[in-house]
Amino acid sequence: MSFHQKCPKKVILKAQKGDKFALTQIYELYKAPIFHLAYHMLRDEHRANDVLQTVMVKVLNSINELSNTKKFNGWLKRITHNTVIDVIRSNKKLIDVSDESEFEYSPEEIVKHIDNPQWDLEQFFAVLDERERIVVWLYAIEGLSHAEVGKRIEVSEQNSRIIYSRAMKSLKSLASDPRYSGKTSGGKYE
Amino acid sequence: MNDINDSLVKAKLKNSVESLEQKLPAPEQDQVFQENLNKHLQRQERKIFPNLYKWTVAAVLLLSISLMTVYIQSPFEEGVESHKLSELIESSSQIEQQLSAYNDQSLNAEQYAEHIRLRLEIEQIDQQLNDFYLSGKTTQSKPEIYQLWKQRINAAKSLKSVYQADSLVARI
Repeated sequence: MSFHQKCPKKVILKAQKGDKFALTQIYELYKAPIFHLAYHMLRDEHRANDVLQTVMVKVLNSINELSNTKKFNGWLKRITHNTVIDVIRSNKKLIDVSDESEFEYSPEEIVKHIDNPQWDLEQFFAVLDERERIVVWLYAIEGLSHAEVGKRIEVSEQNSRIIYSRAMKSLKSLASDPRYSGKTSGGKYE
Repeated sequence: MNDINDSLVKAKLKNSVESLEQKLPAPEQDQVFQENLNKHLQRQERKIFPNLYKWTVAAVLLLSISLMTVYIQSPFEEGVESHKLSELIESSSQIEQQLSAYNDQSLNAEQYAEHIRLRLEIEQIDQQLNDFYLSGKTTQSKPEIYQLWKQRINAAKSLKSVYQADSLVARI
C-alpha cells in the first residue's frame, strides 16, 4: 500500500477544474495509503481518520496550485507527512532533545535483529513514541537525510540523529526482551 | 558507525514495511469526504458568482447608457410616450444602482434561487431590447420597447424585494 498509484493526468486536470467525479476518484485511489501511513504513525484510528479528511480538504483547496501533474504522488505524500507531523506536534510530542546525547548503536547488531525470523516492524513501532516513529519513517523508509528530517519536523539535524538513535536503542531492547515473540502487538510503552 | 551498515539498516527496515498490517479507513469516511467535497464546491460557486453578478450589473448599466444615447438621437424622441420611456430607462438605472449595493451571499437558498431566476429574466429582456435597437426598427417597435422596459423594471423591483425581505429577516 503505497503512494505509487497511477492517477491519470486527465483525472488530475479535471480535478483542478473542480470536477466532482475526478475529485472523488482521487479520494478513492489514495484514501488507503493516506490512512495506512497515518494509522501506523499515530496508532490511533480516530486520529488517522482525521488525518485522511484533513489531507483531502488540503487537496481540494490547493490542487489547482499544482503545476506539474507528474509530481502529484509526491505532492500528496508530502501533504500527508506534514499533516501527521502537525498532529504529533499538537500533541506536544515534538519537543527538543538537545541536552541528550546520541545513543551509539551497532548497525551490524541491528541488522542481525531485523534478520531474525521473529522480527516484526509493527511490534517495533508499538514500542516507539510518535516522534521516534515519524523520524524512523522519514529517515529509514522514505530515505530522507537527518537534515531533511529535522527540517520537516522542525528540530535540528542533531536532534533527528538523537531521536533515531533512541529508536535503535528501543529496537535493541525489544529484541533482547525474552517476552518478545514477534507475534503479538501492543503499545505498553506508548 | 559506518554509513554502509547504516544504509543496510535502512534498507532492511524499508523492506519490512511490506509486512505491516494493511489498514483501511472506515466506510463512513467516504460519506464524510462527500460532505466536505460538497461544501467545498458550494464555496467555489459562491466565489465565482459575485464576480459574474458584478459584471452583469456593469454590463446592464453600460447597456442602459448606450440605449439612452441611441434614444436621444432616435425619431421618437419627441412626444409624451418618448418622455415616459426616458423616465423608465432612468428609473431602471436607479434600481440597478441600488441592487449593486446588496450582497447575494446573505440570501438563503430559496431567495438565492429566486435571485438567479430574476437575473436570468432581466438578461433575457436586455437581450430583446438590444435586438430591437440593433435592428434599427425603433419607430415601428415603439410599443414593444416600452413594454419591455416596463417588464424590466418590474423584474428589477422584484429582485430588490428579495434582498429587502432578507434585510428584514436579518433585522428581526
